[in-house]
Amino acid sequence: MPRSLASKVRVYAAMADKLSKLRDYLEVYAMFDWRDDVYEDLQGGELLDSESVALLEHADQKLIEERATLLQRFPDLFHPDRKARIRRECWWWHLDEGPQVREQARALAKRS
Amino acid sequence: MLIGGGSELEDRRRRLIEHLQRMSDEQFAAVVRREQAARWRRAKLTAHAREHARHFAEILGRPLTPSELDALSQSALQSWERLLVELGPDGQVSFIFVSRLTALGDILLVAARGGFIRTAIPMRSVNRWQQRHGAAVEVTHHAKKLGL
Repeated sequence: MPRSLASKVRVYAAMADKLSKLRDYLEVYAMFDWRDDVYEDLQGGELLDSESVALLEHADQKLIEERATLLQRFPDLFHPDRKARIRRECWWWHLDEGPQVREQARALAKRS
Repeated sequence: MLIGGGSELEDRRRRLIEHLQRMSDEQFAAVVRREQAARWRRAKLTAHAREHARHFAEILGRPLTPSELDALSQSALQSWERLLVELGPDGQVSFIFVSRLTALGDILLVAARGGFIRTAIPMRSVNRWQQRHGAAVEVTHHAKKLGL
């Protein structure tokens, strides 16, 4: 039995809540990996209940708010070579460009 | 161990491969064994268990005490399924031991460097992680062949 999408959102949200406490960039990678998994499930057509939608929104907002800290502490996360291989819809990997990347990703998703 | 500068991911990966190729099997095995014996720094272990309590609880059904996290990490260092090496942006080489964490497809990454555990963190996909990372090299086959 696979892990449910709602559970993945809860894991991601728990990690995002502790974002300022993350000490190692592998931990940020892990948080982004959970977010990637949520993205892939949603792309695959899975649906979230309203509580999970709110939790995901809250966690995403946390990333936006903490982007300066992420950039300062883990600049290698946003290495141009890495970003070049990651689609724009996965906006969390492109946060160095500014908070607008989330809205740009949403606009891209609507167009496709 | 410290490997010289450079910042491009491909260059980092190439230098890491060259570094690994220069090692004899005995040297490679000795380094892996040293990292398999890696330990948490006590304060770091306590802080890690506290700060990651909520998502470990979501994944495993309950949070881990520091001693449980220690035991889980030690187990992962011994009973790993995949082994990767990364050359970090700081030029330091880490060994990353990947093991299955749950029956729901979750995995645990335990990163060790210089005889100490850097972190132990649950993830979903090591293949995606490797693809994203760009400067990590898988050494599973070589290590298994050496009986590690």
